[in-house]
Amino acid sequence: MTDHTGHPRWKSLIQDCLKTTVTHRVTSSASALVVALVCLIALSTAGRTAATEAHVLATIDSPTMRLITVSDTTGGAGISPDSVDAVMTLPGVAWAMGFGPASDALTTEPNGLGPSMPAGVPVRTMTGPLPPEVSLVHGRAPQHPGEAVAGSTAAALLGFADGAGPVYTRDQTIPVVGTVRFTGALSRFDDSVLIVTDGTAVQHDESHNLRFLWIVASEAQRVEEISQWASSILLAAHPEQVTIEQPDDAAALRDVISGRLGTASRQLMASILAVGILVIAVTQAATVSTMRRDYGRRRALGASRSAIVASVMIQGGVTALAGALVGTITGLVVVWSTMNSLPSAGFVLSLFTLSIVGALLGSIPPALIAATRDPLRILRVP
Amino acid sequence: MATIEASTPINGVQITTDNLGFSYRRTSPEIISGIDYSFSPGSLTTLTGPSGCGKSTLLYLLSVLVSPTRGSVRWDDRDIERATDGEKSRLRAAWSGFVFQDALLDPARTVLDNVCESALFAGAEPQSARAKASILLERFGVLERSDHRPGEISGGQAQRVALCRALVTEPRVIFGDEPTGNLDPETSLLVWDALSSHARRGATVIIATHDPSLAATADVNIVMSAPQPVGMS
Repeated sequence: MTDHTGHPRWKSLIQDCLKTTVTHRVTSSASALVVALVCLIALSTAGRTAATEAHVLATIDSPTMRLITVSDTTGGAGISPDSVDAVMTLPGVAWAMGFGPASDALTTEPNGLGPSMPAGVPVRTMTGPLPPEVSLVHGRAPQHPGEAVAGSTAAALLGFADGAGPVYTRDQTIPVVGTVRFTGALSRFDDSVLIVTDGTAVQHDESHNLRFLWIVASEAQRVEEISQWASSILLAAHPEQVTIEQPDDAAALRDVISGRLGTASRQLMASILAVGILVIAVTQAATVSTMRRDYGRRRALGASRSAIVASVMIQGGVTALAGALVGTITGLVVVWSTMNSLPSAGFVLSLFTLSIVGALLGSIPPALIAATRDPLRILRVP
Repeated sequence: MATIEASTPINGVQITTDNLGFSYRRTSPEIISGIDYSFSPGSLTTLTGPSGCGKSTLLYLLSVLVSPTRGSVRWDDRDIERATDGEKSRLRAAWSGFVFQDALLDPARTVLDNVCESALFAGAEPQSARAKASILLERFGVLERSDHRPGEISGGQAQRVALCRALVTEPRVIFGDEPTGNLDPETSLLVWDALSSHARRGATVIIATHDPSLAATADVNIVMSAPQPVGMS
C-alpha cells in the first residue's frame, strides 16, 4: 500500500533545495562568489563614494557650520539675556546660548592671606541650557543660578582634582560643581568657567547683558533665514552695535555636494550597481543552465513546473544571500579600514537587496526553459 | 515501520495508444508511426527490436516524458494530452516509475538520497521513504553503498539504484529502458524477478530490452522495427 499523497510536500521540497545547494558545491560556490565579488567591488568603489559624500555632508551639517554668532563688538550694545529665550522660539533653532563679559579667575580669595593673582582662566555668565555637544567629565551639571561649570582645560589650570571647587573673582566666590568637555564650535570655552544665570531674574541688570549669543540652526540651509530673524527679534539697547556672523556659504556648499556632485556620484553608483547586477544575473543564468540536466531528471521523476521554478529560485536565493552577506561584510570592512567612514545604511541595504534580486531574476529564464520543455528534450541535450 | 508487501495488490493502469506518432524534428521522418495498442495491467510487456527502432522513444511517449507529434496516449480513460502539467507531473511522480538506460542519478547526492528523490515528488513522508528505500537497497544488494555517491559505485550498482528509485513509490506503472543492460546474469535475474513480481501484483510493466532470453519470459513481447511494430509474440 502506498503512503504518498501524489502532491509534493513543500517543506520536504524546500529542505531538498537547501540540500541540493550544499551538495552542488561547485555551482553554488561559483554563484555565491560572483555575488560576493560584485558586492565587494560595488562597496569598494560606489560605496566609498557614498561614504565620502556622507562624510562631507556630515561635516557641513556639524554645529560649527550651522553656528550663528551674535556679538556685542563694543561692549555697549546691551544685549538682554532674554534674547536667548526669544531666539529659541524661532523655528529651525537647535539650541542657543548667551555669554556675558569675561572676568579673570583669581588664584586665591581676594581678601584672604597672600597675594591674589589672575589664574589665566576667564569667568563668564552663561544663559541657556548646556547644549548636547557638551559632555560632563566630573561632578554634576549646574542646577541653580550661581553654580558654574569649568571646561576641562580650565579645571586643570585651577587644579581641581575631582573637577569641582570654588573659583574666586574680584567680587565673588563661585561654586564650580562640575567639569565639562567643550568640543567643536564650543571648544574655545574649554579654558573658561561658565556661571549659570537665570535670564529672567536679571533682565534689568546691565551687568548680566550678553557679549555673545550663539545660535545653532538645525540644518545648514536654515542659517541664512535664522540670521535674519534673529536680528529682528534681538533684544538689544543699541542694535547697531551688534554684529551677526554666519559660516560662509555652508548651505550653498551643501547644495553643491548633495546636488550636482551628489547626482554625479549617484549616477556612478547606479552604473556600477547596474553592471554588477547584470554580471550576477548572467552568471546565475549560466549556473542554472549547467544544471539543466539535473532539472530534466527531476521533471522526469515527477517535479512540476512550479516545483522546478521554486527550486531554482530557492537555490539562487540561498547562494545569493550567502554571497551578498560575505561580500557586504567584507566590503564594509574594506571601506571602514581605508576611509574610517561607511556608506549610508540605505545604500548598503539597496546593494544587498539588488544583488539577491539580480540573482533571482537571472535564474528565471533558464528555470522557465527547464520547467516548460518536455523532460526528454532537456535530458537528450548533451 | 515502512514495509514493501510483495503480496499487496497494485491497481495497474491500462495504457492505450491511438495512431501514435513521433518525430524529434518537424522535418525528419517519424520514428514512431501510427501505433495503436493497449498495454494491460498485471502484465509484463517487453519491447524488443534493433537499435534505433524507437523502443526508448515509445517508452518516453507512454510515460508522459514527451508529447506525441500525432495521436494520443490514454492512461485508463484519461487522455494524457489534455492533462495539465500538474496532472502529468503527478502521474510521473505518484503513478509511475522509470528506470533509465543510463540510470540518470544525481552525481552530487548519495545513493539513498537518489532513491528517495522520486518519493519526494510523490509527496511521500520522508522518514517512510528512507525506510522503504533502505529495504529496496538491501533487496538489490546495494545497501552497503547507500551513503556513497553514484561516481563511487559500478554501472551495475547504479542501475540497481535506479530500479530502487523506480520502485520506492510502489507505482502502478513501471517503465524500464534496458534495466538489465549493465548487470551480470545473476543480478539481471534478480531485477527481472522484481519487475515480474511487480506485474503479478497488478502493475503495468513495460520494458525495452535487447535480451531475447528475458523477453521470452515476458507476458507479451512486442518486436519493433522502424518505423512501426512488425509483430507480437
